[in-house]
Amino acid sequence: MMNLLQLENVHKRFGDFTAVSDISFSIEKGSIYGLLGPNGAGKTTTLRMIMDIIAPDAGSITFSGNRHIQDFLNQIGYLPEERGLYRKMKVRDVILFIAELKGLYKQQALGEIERWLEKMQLSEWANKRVDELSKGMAQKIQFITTVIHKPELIILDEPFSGLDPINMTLLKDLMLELRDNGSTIIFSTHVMEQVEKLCDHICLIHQGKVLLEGELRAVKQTFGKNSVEIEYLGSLEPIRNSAWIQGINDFGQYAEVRLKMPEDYRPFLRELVEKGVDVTRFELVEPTLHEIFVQSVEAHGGVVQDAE
Amino acid sequence: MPNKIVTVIKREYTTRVKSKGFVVSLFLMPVLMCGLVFLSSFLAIMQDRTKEMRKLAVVDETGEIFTEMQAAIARRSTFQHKGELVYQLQEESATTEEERAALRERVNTKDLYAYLEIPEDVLANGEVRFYARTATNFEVQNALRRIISDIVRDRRFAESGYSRREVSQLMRSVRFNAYAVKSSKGKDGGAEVESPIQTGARIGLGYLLVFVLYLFVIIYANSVMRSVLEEKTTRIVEVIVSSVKPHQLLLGKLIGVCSVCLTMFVIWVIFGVLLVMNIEPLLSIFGIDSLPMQFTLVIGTIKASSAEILAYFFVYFVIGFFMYSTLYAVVGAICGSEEEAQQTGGPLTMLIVVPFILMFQLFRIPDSTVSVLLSHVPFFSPILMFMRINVLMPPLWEILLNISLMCATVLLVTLISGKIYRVGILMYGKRPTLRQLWQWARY
Repeated sequence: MMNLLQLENVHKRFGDFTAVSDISFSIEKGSIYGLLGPNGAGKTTTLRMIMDIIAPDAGSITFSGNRHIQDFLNQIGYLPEERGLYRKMKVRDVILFIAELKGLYKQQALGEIERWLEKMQLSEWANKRVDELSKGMAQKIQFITTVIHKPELIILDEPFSGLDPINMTLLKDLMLELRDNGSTIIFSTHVMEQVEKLCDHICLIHQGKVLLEGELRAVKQTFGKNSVEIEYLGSLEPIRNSAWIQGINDFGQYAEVRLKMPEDYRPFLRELVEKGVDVTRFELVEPTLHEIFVQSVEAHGGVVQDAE
Repeated sequence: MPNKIVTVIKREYTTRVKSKGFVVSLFLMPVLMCGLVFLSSFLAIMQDRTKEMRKLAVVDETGEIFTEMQAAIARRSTFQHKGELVYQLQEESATTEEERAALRERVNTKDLYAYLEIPEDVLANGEVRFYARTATNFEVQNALRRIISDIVRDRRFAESGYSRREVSQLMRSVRFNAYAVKSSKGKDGGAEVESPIQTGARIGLGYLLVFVLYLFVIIYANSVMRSVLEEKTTRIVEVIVSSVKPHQLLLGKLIGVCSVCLTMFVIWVIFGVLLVMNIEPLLSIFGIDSLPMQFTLVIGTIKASSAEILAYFFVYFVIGFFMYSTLYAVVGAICGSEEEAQQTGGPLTMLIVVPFILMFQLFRIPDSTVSVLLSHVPFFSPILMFMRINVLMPPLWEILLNISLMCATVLLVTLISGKIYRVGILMYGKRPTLRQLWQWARY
């Protein structure tokens, strides 16, 4: 498989602050690549460097083996985390403007606009001004502007933020459709659950450094099955300080428990019964990405401030 | 592939030209301009007339002038309303300071409009004092000064044995008119000469254009600033700079907005030319067939000189626009809100307001060292050099030097601003300090 995008030893400092330190990863053509990390980890800076909006201090970024990424900007679609549209322009005109900036001719772009608006069920909004749209509609328009020029590489920075469940599903299906049609997608987020369901490959960034990189399945396997999911009634208080567990993510009636060793599940189950916790389900599972992330950060001597 | 700068220009241009604001200013601006000219000329000839009776107290220490004054006032239109005398003179005697203070107090309480002190030695050199609630009612003051001066002079003449008629016949001033000698050749082979009316028409046109230049640079530089700010606050700028380099975006924006102004000017010029060319048939529609000589002269001057003045106007407007707008674009880029940008942009406005104010003094001394030096300060040139070109054409080398100087400034400003702009549009939060700006400029 050929690498569409490759980053090698990329560094970026802003004054005294190191935003990105020695980041390397490569993205295979046709994959959905998850760029993960809490807010402020350096994700947006990395994406801006890929888009040639800011220049790295050191290291190289290559697109299809070419270092002059500015020649390929028309083949990349970028949906920034901070986004907006010209409020006083008509929907069609805004999309047309950005499509032309991406190298599409007017006639060609107009056809694509109609097609996409129909697909998003926004056709009747084409002549409305952007400031008349609801937030969700504006987000969908923004997504259209990202993909209208049929880019090879699509970069989505927190694409799901602010979307309702229906639109989330719509967007997720679109991402898969685009991938199946040959596009490569970089999906940057701090919400681990979304990545788990969509991505083939992941890269975990923390404080500007790569903690983990690779195929999602392989990453999970190296962490082994030291996680337990339990459903219970009442309270988990009695076992909160159990000697067997390393961490616990409690949701009230459901909890994900990280054990110190994979084989500790037996004594832990026994303890649950002895302390009288009313367990209705107990299952040994692969760790969630969230747990993997927490473990990796702790292994590097860091502390995770729970991301939002 | 479509050119990206052209795409940016097109957007800036069409969104503005299609807006209601453009259409409104296209029609309203000339109306407002004419209105302003008419209003100020109306105010200039408007006289200080009153319908109410105004009481004017006179303390006449000579005891002889008051009666003559009363007769003279009745003859002057300044003191009349529809043929009726509206000023009432009353003689008061006030020998002590208390009595005079009392009179002043009556002025203060509006019982008296004003009070006048004529000293005993007024024929020699005494000072006549006029007390009123405002000392800016020059029209009344001047009329009174003339009346009293005439009376005093008559008395002096009489004492010396002349009659007033004889003296005023002998003392009348000569007719005096100023003719500007031009650098161009006239019909007789010598330098061409311009009559006062021609000068007035030419300079009037020049003034109008300086004013338009000043107004439009301020208005549209602010428009550029708001546009940059909009892209920044709506965050669309990140999408744009992922396809276009920031300096391309900035350049496209400036060219787009400048074209909007030029479009408006060109439409006005076309209308103006049509109007001036067809002024006679147009006026005959209104039943005016024979035009006064002066009017024909004014029209002739405008026909003859406007092509050159307009050419200079376009050059100085375009350069001036780029010079100021680039700076305003930077202000938009480093600020986070409209209020903040207005505040930060305030000092910049001085760069164009200062030469505009200076112009009113400097046009009297267009070739003095001060004028020449100030007109070569790049940020002052669009106004001051353009003023000099209108009033007294500087040598060609000086104009060329000036234009190159301005172009160099535009380049330098663009280079530095472009860098700050590039960083600024992606920075949110606190406005940067001057030190940070300097760092950004050197990235």
